[in-house]
Amino acid sequence: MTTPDPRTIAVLAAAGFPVDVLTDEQLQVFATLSEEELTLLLDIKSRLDDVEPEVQAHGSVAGGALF
Amino acid sequence: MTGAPSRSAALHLKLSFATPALNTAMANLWRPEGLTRRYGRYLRTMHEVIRASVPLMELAARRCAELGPDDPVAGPLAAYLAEHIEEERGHDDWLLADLAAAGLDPRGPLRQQPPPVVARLVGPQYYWIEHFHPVALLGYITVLESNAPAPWLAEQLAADTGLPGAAFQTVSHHAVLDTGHSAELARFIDRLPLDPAQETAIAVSALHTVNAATELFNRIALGDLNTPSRAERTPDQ
Repeated sequence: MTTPDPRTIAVLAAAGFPVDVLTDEQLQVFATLSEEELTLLLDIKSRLDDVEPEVQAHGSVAGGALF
Repeated sequence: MTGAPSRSAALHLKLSFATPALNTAMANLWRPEGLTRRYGRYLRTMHEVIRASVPLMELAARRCAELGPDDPVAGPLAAYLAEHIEEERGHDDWLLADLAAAGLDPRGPLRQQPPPVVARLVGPQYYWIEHFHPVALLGYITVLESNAPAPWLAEQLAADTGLPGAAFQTVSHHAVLDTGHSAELARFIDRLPLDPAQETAIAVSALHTVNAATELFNRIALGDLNTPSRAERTPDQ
């Protein structure tokens, strides 16, 4: 497992992820993200940020599409 | 939560940060405006994706056999895959039947090369199975199983498109069939004797799958499967 790095949580917070609602155990999961995992999460977040807020709101009733 | 989360709980926690983007893309995919035409694109594209599901798992099972009894993950993984292969076999044919029921050419998906956006979703799994470890495929399967159609979706799509119910058999069947698959897979991941690199490989595979599926559904929603992605563009594009 990757060594915990508190800077990872700061990077996630700066990107707008809701780290403030996580428990200590959950924060530990994110603090040990690999570099590849962190990069992917930031890339995924940027896709969401590209979408207008009113369209983002529709995501709560996504309906699923994979199998 | 008390104590350290299980492996599968940690994986789903990471995915909880990723899925809002995928959910937004899927909601945009299913918006009623222009859905009839978009649904045809979805069926063709999903055939390009799903026709690789059983071959991917068969490849992973062969790699497990090559790794043999010295690899403590290979044996249980091969047993899981053998069962899951039979559960998934033939589902790509359902998509072709849905295309025909929607009045579209069911041979269409087999005549043209799947676009890079599909290869970006499926292709890395082949690489990781062959050149790292077949257990990475569990990240891909986790994301597919966790985002199965909702029970109400087929009826909603039929109402919004005016197409016959027979055009939604794949969506309808998976709303029923995939119930429980995700929990079963989570329990299986928790039982596997994974080393830290393998655990990370599953998470990277899962997050990559969310990223690529989000791009894929955004492209289908836009009606544009062939424009170069951000990564493919040159700086002046």
